[in-house]
Amino acid sequence: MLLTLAWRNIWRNKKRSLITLSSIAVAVFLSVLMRSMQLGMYDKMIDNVIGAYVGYVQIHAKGFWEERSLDNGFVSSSADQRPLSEVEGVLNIFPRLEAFGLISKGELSNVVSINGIDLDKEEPILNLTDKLLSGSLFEAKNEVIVGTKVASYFNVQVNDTLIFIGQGYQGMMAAEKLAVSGIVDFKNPNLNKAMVLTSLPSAQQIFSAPDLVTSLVVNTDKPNALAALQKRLSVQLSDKEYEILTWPEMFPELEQTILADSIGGIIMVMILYMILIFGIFGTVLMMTQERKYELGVLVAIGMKKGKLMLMVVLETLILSLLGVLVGVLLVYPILLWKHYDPFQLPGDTVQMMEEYGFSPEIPFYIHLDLPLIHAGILFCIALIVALYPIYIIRTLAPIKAMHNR
Amino acid sequence: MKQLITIAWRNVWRNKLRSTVVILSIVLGLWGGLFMMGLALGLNEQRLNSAINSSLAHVQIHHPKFEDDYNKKYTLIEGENIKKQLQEMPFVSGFSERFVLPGLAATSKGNYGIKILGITPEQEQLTTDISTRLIEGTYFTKFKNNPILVGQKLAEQLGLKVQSKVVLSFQDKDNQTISKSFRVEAIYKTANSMYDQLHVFVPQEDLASLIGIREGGHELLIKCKSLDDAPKVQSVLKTSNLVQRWDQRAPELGYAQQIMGSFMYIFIGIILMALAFGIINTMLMAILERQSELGMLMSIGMNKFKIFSMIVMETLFLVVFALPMGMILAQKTIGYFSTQGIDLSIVAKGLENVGLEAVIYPFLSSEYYFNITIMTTLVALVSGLIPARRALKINPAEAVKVI
Amino acid sequence: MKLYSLFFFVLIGGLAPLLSQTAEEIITRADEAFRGNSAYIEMSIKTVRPKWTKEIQMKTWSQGANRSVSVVLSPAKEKGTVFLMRDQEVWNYIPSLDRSIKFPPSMMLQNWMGTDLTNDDLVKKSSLQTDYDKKIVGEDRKENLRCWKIELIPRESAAVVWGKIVVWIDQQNYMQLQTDFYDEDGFLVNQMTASNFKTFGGKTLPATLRVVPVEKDNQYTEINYSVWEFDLVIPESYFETNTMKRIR
Repeated sequence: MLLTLAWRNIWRNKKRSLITLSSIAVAVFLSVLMRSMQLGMYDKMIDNVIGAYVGYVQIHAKGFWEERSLDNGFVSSSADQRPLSEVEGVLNIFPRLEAFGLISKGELSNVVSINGIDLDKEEPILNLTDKLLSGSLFEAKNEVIVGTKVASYFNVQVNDTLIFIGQGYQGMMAAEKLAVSGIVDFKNPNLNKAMVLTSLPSAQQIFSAPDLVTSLVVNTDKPNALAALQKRLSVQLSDKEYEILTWPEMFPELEQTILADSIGGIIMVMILYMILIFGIFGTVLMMTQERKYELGVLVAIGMKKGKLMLMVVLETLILSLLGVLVGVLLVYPILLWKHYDPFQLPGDTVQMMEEYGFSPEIPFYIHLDLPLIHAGILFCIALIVALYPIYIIRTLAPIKAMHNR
Repeated sequence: MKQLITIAWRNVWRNKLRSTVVILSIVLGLWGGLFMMGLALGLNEQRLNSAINSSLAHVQIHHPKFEDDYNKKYTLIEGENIKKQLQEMPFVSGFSERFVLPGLAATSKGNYGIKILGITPEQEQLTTDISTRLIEGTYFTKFKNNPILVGQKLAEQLGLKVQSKVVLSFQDKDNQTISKSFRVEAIYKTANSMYDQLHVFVPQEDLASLIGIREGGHELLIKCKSLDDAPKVQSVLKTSNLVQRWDQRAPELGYAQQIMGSFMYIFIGIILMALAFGIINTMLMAILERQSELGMLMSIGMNKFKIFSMIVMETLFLVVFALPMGMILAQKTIGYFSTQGIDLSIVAKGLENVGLEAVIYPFLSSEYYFNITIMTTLVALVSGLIPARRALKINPAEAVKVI
Repeated sequence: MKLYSLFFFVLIGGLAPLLSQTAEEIITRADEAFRGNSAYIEMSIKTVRPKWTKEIQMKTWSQGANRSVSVVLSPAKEKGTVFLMRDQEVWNYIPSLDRSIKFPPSMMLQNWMGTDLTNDDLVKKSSLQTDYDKKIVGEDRKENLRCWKIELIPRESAAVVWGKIVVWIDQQNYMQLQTDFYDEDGFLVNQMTASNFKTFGGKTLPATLRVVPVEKDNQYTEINYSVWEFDLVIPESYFETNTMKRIR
């Protein structure tokens, strides 16, 4: 009965209800909008720095991250990698052999990092074809692509030869002639200065390390659920022989930088909430004052105050639910739109970011947990704000209330 | 008109609770928004200043080919001429010349690639603040033989303390690799740990004869009286060397200011929108509550225009009352923390990576206060319009009857 | 009586130089014993690690303290590789590439061929004499031989990373029996020991040298000398960069 009453009350006074509803809807809309933009930005930042090459999770032989020498690599064939790629949350497993050595041409020589990767698997993500300045990606044995600064230091063109000397696996000497098949702009000055890429089999042969890898890079579509992914992977790999590291474990400084940013973002949302709460409260405040007469009448004709309070709570509940629903329905399409057609940062900043390998767009964060969380928070806030009308009802002196007209 | 104003003012205070809620939301909203801006912009400003004071300076000059491969033969073209010109410029507060050599630093713990900066200690103090950033040791005052200053990050990696020996390897004038040992006279720490890891300072004279450079250097750092003088130096100086301003050397610092500014305005925009909605809704609800009163006013002859203006004025009063309070609150707190600083040690390591100290000083220049004031007043006007329009729709006859 | 004492003092005076050699002199003699004016050596170098072991066979010709050239005989993959150490430079010829390169400074501190010696160690062998102040701090026995214990402290301007080196030199044959390398904080970082004494070219020399990086487990490099001849004539061409490929 109370429920029916509450429902009818709401529709009896459309303007009043609409105003209350809209204040909640707007709150949801704005808070989700802002947070979605922020979270989208953080994810993009992480993606730019980590997703682009380092990877969210890496698997190594135990002790490798402490001492990154070739001798701390491990054997891994495609057969070994298959069960890992079938773990839930894993998109791909990229085997890599990363080592360093001396590149020489004529009188010049310099230390570079030489990485063997599985091009078929990694190209969709690395997108090296787009970054090629000249030549093509490596195909034949001992073909390599080099960063722009490496190329300019040695003054190499496509099809030139570079000599590579280094220390191979277990003390074997590594010495090869490498053919430059292409020159690439990695969009990162450090990589451009020191990176040479080749196929995994080529690298394994150069370093006399058949089937050896130094890391398996795990690509996932759920970058925010890394701990769970780590756990699932560890079931497949012996704890004594392997280590599975997430990027915060590998680069704690980077994580701290992002954390610092994130804290700033949260503070901003809190400030927003503060204002929104005032807005909702103001609305409910006025609404209650407007209804004093009506409430007074109800008490005077015998309705128990307790029941009245319950009715008001129910009204608030319904209005909040509706308001939250409307807010989410209004904001979500915008989130989706700006996710698939992201905002571009203005003007000159674009060029600068691209130089550093950051894409200058901000895709909005669209996972459902975001609207749900904020809807939930605002729902609770609405209920708390409802305490005011309850208080008013408690202290209601019916005669006085009715006198107000 | 005066009557209207008085009525509007009195209306505002008739319902103290409502007005307090609205005023409070504006005050707190403005305060929060401005403080955030101060924090974000202060942060950027800090980073910029740290970089300029410790390593960038305002203008840098190099031989046009020097940075291609750091070949030491590319010393500044006609360095003396440049220095003479600089001495004539009143907006230049100091300059210093340096050698820049790529090399290796080694101890029994290991070896790292570094950049060796050969400086003249007194000259250097005119352009960078390294001499004030020593966490241990002295600034080229105690050791006579081959002193060196190393950054804290590098010292940690190589296991160096004051008085430790470190061996530097680099190429001499015949491009032969030579090694020379230096004694750590001090360990320095700038806001940027990556900088500390890479750069070491030694007196020029200890390098000069070895690398065969009798006069001139590879790098000239120029400090101006203010940041804005940097472009002046660039345009006035006549030289065939490459003259670059700080924002050309470190474009990401310049952009960071711009980006941060844009983001902050967006944030404030959202805050103002939230404020606007809050005010509009509250006032709309108030109109509903005052239907009978307004209806009565209309029926005794108050014309529509006056009703409209009255409502708008009520809203304006609320905002105008709250605005200065919010601004002052913001200014006082930002001012307080801009000298006290906010301690963010928990994320210190992450901050150091990007060139920030663990203690942050918020700062907001007056142009922002001004802009936000304008924006808020506009928002106030618009927020007043909507309830006012709604008020006009009241049918006096109906309104009086409402229960 | 007076005549006797006079004679006695003169005798003692004459013998004194023989009895009290300076640390400087001892080190110099040890170095000469080890190096000679020129030498030809055949050796095997074994690198031992927790997970693997590798052995290289080499021939080396050395002239004085500053020049030497070595060629690798086995394993097969590295056969024909030549290292030329000349003054402060290291040159490397690789037969499979038919190229020679000079190591840049950044490579000098890397391990030579995976052993516990760095490229720098190979060229800096003579620095014991020029870069350090030496002092005899006592006598000791190593491998059952009486030796001098000599402490070497680096000179102020010396470009060496050690804080201190302690050397045991046997008093009979001037063999460097043990060398302890300490860092600046006084921690023992590297230790080189000699054993297995044999006669080579009329001298007694250790046929086995072992280099142990003290702070790492189960890791060392061992050099075993099989042939050691001294004072032969070595043509200049052996130490030139463009003839490296012809060294056999």
